[in-house]
Amino acid sequence: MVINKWKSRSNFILFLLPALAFYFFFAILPLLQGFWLSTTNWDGTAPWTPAQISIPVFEKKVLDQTPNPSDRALLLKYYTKNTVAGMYQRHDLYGLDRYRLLMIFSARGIVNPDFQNIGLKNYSDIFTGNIDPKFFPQNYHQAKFQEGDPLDNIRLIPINEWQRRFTNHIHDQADLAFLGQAYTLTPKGYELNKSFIPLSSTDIQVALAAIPGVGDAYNDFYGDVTDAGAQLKAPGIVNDLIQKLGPVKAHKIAPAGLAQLQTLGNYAYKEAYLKHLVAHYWYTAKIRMGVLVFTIFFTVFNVLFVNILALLLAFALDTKIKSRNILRSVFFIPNVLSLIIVAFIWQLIFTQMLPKLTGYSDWIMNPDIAPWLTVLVATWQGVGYYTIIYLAGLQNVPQELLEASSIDGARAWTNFRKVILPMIFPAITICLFLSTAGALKTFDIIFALYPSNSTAVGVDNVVINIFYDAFRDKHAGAATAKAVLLMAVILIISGIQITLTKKKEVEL
Amino acid sequence: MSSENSILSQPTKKIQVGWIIFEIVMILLALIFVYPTIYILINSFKGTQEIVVNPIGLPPHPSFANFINVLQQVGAGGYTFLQSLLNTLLITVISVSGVILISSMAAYVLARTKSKASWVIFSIFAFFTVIPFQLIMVPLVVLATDLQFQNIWGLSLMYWGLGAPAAVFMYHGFIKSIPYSLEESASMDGASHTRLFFQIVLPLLTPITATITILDILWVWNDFLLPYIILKQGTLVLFQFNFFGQFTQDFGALTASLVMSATPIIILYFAMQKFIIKGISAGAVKG
Repeated sequence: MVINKWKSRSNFILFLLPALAFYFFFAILPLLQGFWLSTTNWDGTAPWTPAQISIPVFEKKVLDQTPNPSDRALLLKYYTKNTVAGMYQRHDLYGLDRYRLLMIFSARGIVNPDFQNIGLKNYSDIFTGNIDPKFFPQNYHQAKFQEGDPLDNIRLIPINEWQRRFTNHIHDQADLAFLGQAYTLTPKGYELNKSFIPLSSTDIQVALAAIPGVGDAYNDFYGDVTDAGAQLKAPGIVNDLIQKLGPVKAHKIAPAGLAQLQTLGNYAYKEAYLKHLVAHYWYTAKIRMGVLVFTIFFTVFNVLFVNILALLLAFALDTKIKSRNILRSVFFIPNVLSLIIVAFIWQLIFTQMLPKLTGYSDWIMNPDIAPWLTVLVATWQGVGYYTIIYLAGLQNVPQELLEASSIDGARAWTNFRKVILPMIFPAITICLFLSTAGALKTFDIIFALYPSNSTAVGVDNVVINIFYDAFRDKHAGAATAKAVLLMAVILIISGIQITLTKKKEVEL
Repeated sequence: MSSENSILSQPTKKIQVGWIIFEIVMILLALIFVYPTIYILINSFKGTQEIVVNPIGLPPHPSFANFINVLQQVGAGGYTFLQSLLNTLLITVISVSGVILISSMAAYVLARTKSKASWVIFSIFAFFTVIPFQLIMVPLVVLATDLQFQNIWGLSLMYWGLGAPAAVFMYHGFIKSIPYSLEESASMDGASHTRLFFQIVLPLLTPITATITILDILWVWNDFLLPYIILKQGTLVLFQFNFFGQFTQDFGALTASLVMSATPIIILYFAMQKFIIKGISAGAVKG
């Protein structure tokens, strides 16, 4: 066989070039640019070169210092003199010209403060915790009562909560005294005195409006009184307001009406004051996982559940049951669906079916349950895929052994450990690493389950966080720095996988 | 694989009953597993009011009104369901055929050339597996604006570059396993390299081509993030995504839209099931 060497080399390049060129252009080049962007303070939208420069600086420092006529033409193409503003203003520019202008400017030593090299600051910020606090675990207060909630919700406060949240926390003696007047200690807990505010807020408003002569004024009056209560103003405020009401309206109100106004105003004031105090101090202290810990939580449980379930399913399907082919197809269905469809299916289940079925409606938006729901959906979607890989691994195991193990329980465990496990170990390694990498990079499911509120519910993982950093919160530089660190983590995981697989191969 | 009709060597009654119970349990488990999809399918034939009142039961008055409604809706960017479907079809065809062509060519010369350069280039392709998409995401958006690539062709060409590494990897493994002799005799007959590849080698690669085609169709068809940041609207998945943002409370339309956008891929799955399952086991074990 004689093949012209030159010809074969040119063929090598000719055949290789298309794939290599596209790969280089849409993966390697962006990768290198990603490294570069991670050392800048770019927000993702700001122009790389200054949007405007004062006329003398542009003409003296840039234009005059640029010898190349085509560079000068380029500068004048994109920057137009605006004598009124005293500036050269830049037009939109894309493509190679963007890079050429950036080089011209940086050669002249002019940097756009919105796009400058900040070295490894993005990285050091991540490691020193000098970034968005929601990236790391944090304490937060979950209020047990909102100011808008009805008074009935705070008729009874448990004794230990009272001590923990009120006695130990409220330093203002006046506030403590006020609460002491409002509540009485009973065996059940601290109960709100019936006489303290005997009417509901609607009753108060109806009664106020009914006082002859008050008429439309009640609305302003009620609003002012409750505002004062919420701002914890002095209790005499009701008198002041009646005084103020006086010159215009009070002469129309009979003395009995004024007394009633006084009583009702006081109730409204006390109610607002009480609600404000309780809403402020009655809470549960909780820990929010933050992006980092949630990512670990999600990855660990997703990998665990997916692999255990897939392995069990594979064992069940690698038997003689007649429906095994159909069952295998069924368990694989979620895997061919788009992750967006999968997430929306479950969104409807969580918001429609589960509340109807259980009578409990707070599923998807509940920060305690939501992390588990994301794991559930991801596991449901992924389990079929890993079942197939485990099934392929189990095909290496001699059939008689599997049969024996399914018949004789006593021998089964030994068989499993001594024979089956070593045979499917390669499949386990592959599945563990594939599922870890997959779980770390889970984006679509969480993004579609929580299109705008994943941050509020606390189910942002690293890739979601990077996405929001890059496109919503305008920290493209910091976002790419996080992505570089993610790549480092994936590199380490792949390294471990390769060493493990190599080691096993040597042993076999 | 064990054959369907092989029976235990000495079946006893007790074991038979055990198998039947086991089989029933497995079928029940599978039903629970697919229930969410069945739930969506059933509800797509109900009106929104019927879904709110009774989300679990069968539709009292089954109707196709929801489906017609979805077909008539004009989503974000003026794309209807059918236009989005057509766009997705176009993107998938252009992307996957391109990936297949360029990857098989590259993998062929890489697998058949034993040189340092070939090894290095292959490693560069293999390196792609550790690049998280989030790292190239922002630069890709910059690139797409620079090249004016925010259209179907631009997106498809990006898929060529992003799909090539995995395809090269799988082709490479497969080509290594086929004997050299056929090509040798053909080249002795004086066939040019190009003819040799397209007439002799490519037909030999059909099994792995089928696998890669299926896997890449599933990937491109279902992909969300790349189309989302490059196009914002116009593909089926994006139609679905924007639809949920638009009709948050119209549960009839929402369920119907899910059924409609899932149908094409479900049909493909049941038609190509064998390839898909074989492809995944092969792809994973080799990867």
